[in-house]
Amino acid sequence: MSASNAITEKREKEHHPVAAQPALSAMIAEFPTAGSVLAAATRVSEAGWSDWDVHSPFPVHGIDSLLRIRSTKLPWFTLTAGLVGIVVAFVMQWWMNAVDYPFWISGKPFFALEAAAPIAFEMMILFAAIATIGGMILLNRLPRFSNPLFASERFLRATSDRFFIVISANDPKFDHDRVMQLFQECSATAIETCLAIDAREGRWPSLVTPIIVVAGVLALVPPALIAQKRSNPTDLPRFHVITDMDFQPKFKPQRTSRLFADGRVMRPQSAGTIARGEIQLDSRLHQGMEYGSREVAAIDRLNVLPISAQGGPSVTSNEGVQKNPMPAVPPPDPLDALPWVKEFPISVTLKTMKRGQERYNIYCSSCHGLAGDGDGLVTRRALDLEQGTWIKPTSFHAENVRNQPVGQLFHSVTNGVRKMPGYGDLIPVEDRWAILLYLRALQQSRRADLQDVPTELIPSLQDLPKE
Amino acid sequence: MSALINDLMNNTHEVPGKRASLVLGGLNNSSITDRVCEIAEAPTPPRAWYIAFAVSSSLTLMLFGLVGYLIFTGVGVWGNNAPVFWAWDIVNFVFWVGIGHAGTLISAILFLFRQNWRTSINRFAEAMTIFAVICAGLFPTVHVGRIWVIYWLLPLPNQNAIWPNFRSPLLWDVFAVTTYATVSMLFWYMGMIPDFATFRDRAKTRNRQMIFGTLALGWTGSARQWHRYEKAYLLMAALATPLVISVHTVVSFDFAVSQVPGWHTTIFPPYFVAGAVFSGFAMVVTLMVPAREFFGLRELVTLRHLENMTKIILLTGTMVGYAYAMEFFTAWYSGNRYEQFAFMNRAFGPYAWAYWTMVTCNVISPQFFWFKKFRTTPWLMVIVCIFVNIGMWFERFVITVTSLSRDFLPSSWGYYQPTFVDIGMLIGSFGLFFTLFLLFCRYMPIVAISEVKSILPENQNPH
Amino acid sequence: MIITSESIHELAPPQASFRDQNLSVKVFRARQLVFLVGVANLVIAIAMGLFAHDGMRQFSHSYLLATCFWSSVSLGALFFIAIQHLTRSGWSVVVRRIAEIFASSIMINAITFVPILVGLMLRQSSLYVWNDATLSASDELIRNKVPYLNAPFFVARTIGYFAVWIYLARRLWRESSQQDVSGDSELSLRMERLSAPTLLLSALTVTFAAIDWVLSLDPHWFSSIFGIYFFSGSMVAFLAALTLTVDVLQRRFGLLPMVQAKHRHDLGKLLFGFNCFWAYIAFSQYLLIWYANIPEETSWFQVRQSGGWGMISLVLVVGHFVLPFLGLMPRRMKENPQILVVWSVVLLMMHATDLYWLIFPTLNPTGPVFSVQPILSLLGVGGVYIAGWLWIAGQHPLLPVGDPRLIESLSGGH
Repeated sequence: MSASNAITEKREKEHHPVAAQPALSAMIAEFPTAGSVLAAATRVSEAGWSDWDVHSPFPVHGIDSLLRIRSTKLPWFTLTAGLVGIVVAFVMQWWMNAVDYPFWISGKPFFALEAAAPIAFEMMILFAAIATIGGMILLNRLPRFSNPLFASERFLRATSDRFFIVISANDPKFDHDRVMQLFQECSATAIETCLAIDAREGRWPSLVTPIIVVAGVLALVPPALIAQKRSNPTDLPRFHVITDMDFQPKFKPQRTSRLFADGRVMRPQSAGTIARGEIQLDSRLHQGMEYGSREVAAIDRLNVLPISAQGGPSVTSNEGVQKNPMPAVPPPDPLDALPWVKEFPISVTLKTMKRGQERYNIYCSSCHGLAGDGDGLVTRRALDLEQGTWIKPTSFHAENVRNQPVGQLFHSVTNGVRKMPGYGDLIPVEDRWAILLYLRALQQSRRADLQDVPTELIPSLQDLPKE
Repeated sequence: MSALINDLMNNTHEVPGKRASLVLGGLNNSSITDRVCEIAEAPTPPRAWYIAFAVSSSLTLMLFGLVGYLIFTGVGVWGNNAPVFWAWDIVNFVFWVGIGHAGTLISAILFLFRQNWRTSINRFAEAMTIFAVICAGLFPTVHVGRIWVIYWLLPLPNQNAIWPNFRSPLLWDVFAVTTYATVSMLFWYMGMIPDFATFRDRAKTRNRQMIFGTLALGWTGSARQWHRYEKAYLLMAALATPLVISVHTVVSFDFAVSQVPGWHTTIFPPYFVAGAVFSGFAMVVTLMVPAREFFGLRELVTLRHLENMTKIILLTGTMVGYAYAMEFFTAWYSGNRYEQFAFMNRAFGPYAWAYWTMVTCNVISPQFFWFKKFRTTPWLMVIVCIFVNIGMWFERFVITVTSLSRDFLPSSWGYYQPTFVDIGMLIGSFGLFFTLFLLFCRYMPIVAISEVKSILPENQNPH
Repeated sequence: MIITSESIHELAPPQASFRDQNLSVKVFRARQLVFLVGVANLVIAIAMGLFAHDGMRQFSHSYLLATCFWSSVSLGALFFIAIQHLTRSGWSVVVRRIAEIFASSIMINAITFVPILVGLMLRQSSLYVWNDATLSASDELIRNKVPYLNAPFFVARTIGYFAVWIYLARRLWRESSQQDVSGDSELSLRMERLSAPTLLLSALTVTFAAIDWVLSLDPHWFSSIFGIYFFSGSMVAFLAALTLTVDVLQRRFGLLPMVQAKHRHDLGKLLFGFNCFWAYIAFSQYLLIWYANIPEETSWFQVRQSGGWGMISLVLVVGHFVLPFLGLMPRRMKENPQILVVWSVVLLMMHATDLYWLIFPTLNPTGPVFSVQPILSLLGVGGVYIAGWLWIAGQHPLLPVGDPRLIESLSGGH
């Protein structure tokens, strides 16, 4: 290729007065291939130029060392941001789930490394990736929309199929003719000069500035509104943009309504309503009493004393109460007078006994103890804690309990006694009787003698070691 | 004559010791630039583009309509109900996230393995990743019902003064998918900066100059810029590789950390990742084959590229088959009755039809790629790949629905059936995906111009 | 330096083969030495087993550890070769012969596995509890697994695995060595075609080998990822062994000078990558079991987290992942031969520790009991293995001189 044909030189503004001419910014030389630009760059590098660069449509390998480009610090951006991401993720998870708002979920610790690891990993990647790309853009001094090189029509091919060497006018050795000579020696296909950008040419398009200003002002509105609301507390209810399910067309419990004559929202059951399967006609079985329920109800109304007042002296730290002298003899328990059954209203079999033992161990033993001494695990723990509100259950082997008719015991199991809650709702009625059967057996075990033991088991008995 | 052209266009013949050319037709720096830029610069796209766009954008409109219906009415418009509370929404989510995995795999993992053939297809696949993640994100977003409080998913202060539960795999998913979307988007954009600069410098109109000038950030392709750019690309690839694996791993955790039989099995993480790559590559091939025809990219996206992708499909499909086998074996070996039941129920229960569809499409159909004929005939690959995509959707359906429909409590067993909203939203999500994809093909550099140039033999370092 | 196919043939024999007169004597001596040392170690280990209380159980576990360790190195090599062929890899040709020697050494592993099988058939081995008829009858879980976990089937399977591996390794070895002579590029394509079934068969056999040999030590426990876990460890072990071998050959014997920084960089990257993969698989397995918290699964980790085993777990987390991860990340570390060798040795030791952590808790559930038997067994089986390795290595050049991609490898290609 003949150099003189290909080389063109642009000096459009040569005839202008020197004062009006913009300063020379750089000189560029065009090359057709990666190989030729590399060869030329080698020459430029050897000639000792310092402020120059090579522009290519793709990275040409081998240029970096010619330009003496030091390895970029970008990996440090990535590393630092990645570490920050991990730390932020761990601290965030720990603070939010273990400090500020700790709550149990599926038996997991508030903060566990295992469960925190996935998010820490993701945040490490997120931070590192943003830092890497941000760092690349920053270190490359981008965005830079105004560049003297863009003035050259020829240079536009640097992003498609041409290669350029650019020597900046800032290079201390810069001299127009010397650079021209150098480029010609490198057999550049074209050489151009680039002039520094006229301040007016580098301006934004006219619309951009007002758009930015308007957008900036609008962006300030939401934070300003939030700040205003936050600094002005109000008693008004929350403003419902979306009502969700906050206002539902329904009645809430314990409210009034004009729909019903009595104004009550919660409707009482019709008189005589009995739930299916809940009819309890057998007073012996369901109440443990010989009479029908009507008479018992009448007796109950006569004895309106609250049951808690009939219990033994409760242990309390309240001094005012302690000063009151206790009655020497507690008043007779009105319950004692009721017509309790003394026989079991169910069939007494070994099967029932076994069932009673099983139910007793499940429902009763935790407080009353496996042997009925009132020393179950819960009781022992409560007494250890010494909180003063626990009433030790009476031992089943105490005289008054042993002498109670079985119907009265059934009443206690069903409706509760003193602090013990009623178990009527929890244990089916046959099981309650079975439990009482087992209770009787437990009581009997303390007072048994040799005749009570089946003959075939007698040989296996042995004396306990003396203490 | 056509046989001769076919021979020239077929670079799948391997000569050990010689690297086959990855750019055919004698394309050079100038013609590669022209070929890719002209797609976006053409005053009108091919007619097929208009037809496809009309179809896909109507489907997208249908999707938006259904989303509106769902938001105004409630998630009850879906078929999800006791006991199958997770159904097509999570199935579609996992399916689309999986589709997205191929893009990052090509742009990051193959980059680290120095597979030069990635350069012609990576931009395309990365774009697919982003659109697939958008489709994926749609389903969990609308499934919360009250989407106006979706920000409760994020650790932001809110009026209830509570924080999200970081011990939940579903929250890990929020972080994984948002990180994945962000990083993929950044990576995609960074890869396009030099190509945007090419667009800017070729722009004939003021608008194109402004738009691409802004997007290119003033890129001039100087050696100093390239130096940092290449380092950044390497670092991004090194970050995106574990990220892409972690995303589907976390998705698999959604299932596998639970105690539901059929969900809780330790092979889930690698198995989900393999399945994701499998379906993603199948989708890339499905879209790449028509795109290279319509946009005249057969010299850039050569048969060798397609063959390599089918090999990866075969590999990952076989991995998925391995995972199915291991699940079954372990269910038997564990001696756990529930586990054994879950798998017998999959294969022979009420959803057996779905299970065997899955096995046929996922395990058997990729086996056709053992034959060179299937690996090098574009229309055959597309057929296999469509089957693979069907199979991979069914895989997620089988995992999600069979395990939930019959779990520990036989009294609450049920049979899930989708409603028209479920079906419409699945189809609509394809519409959204293709709409975004068609817009991308029309307006963006669909091949990484600078990267393809860098692997041309003529541009190799002559030293 | 311009490398052509002719210059390789001239260059290769002196620098890439044990055939040289001086060298072959040296190698012969080394072979005898390591073999004798290996046998001596094994004899001491057996003697300790015979004379100590419960010592044979200790010995059988130690011996299993040693066999699994050296087998995993060979298996990693088999995978490595198949992957290199399938990806038509150019860079790795320069080290592929060493990998082929490792893969062929699976024959030695087969021989060293025989005592375990014999012990199993004679019901003398106290290794696998499911082999105890009374126990497996009384334990419902084991009873259900008897169709799979029984001595004859176990032995048949293991023989089958080794048959598959030996067949594949020998075929790859034979075709590669034929290419040394003929330089026929068609052989490269044949090996490529063979590699796909190799990968598939190896994946299946290695999975079930891992289940049989290691997982079934605790027949109650199960994990579907276990095969992949074993595979990932094997790859790490093999890549570390390969790096170490190349370094020893370069330094001790002055061989293979053509393996340079760029190859080490690639090897280091693979080592780094597979080590991360191991950590990923290990973490996935742990997290899923930790989170679901089902007793029949957590019991396995419970043992490995309490007592002294907790310390070993921590050693694995730090030594097998954290430190090598940080240490192998910078490029400088991968290119520097000394540093890369240090990490290879660390990772080999960690792989042995990993197997120790997998195998020994069934023997000492309360905590690791220090004993020299595992070390003696590792060295003993290792001596036999290395002797066999050297014997195989002496048969052909240490470089696939006929491979058409060798030039690319030497000039640092794909």
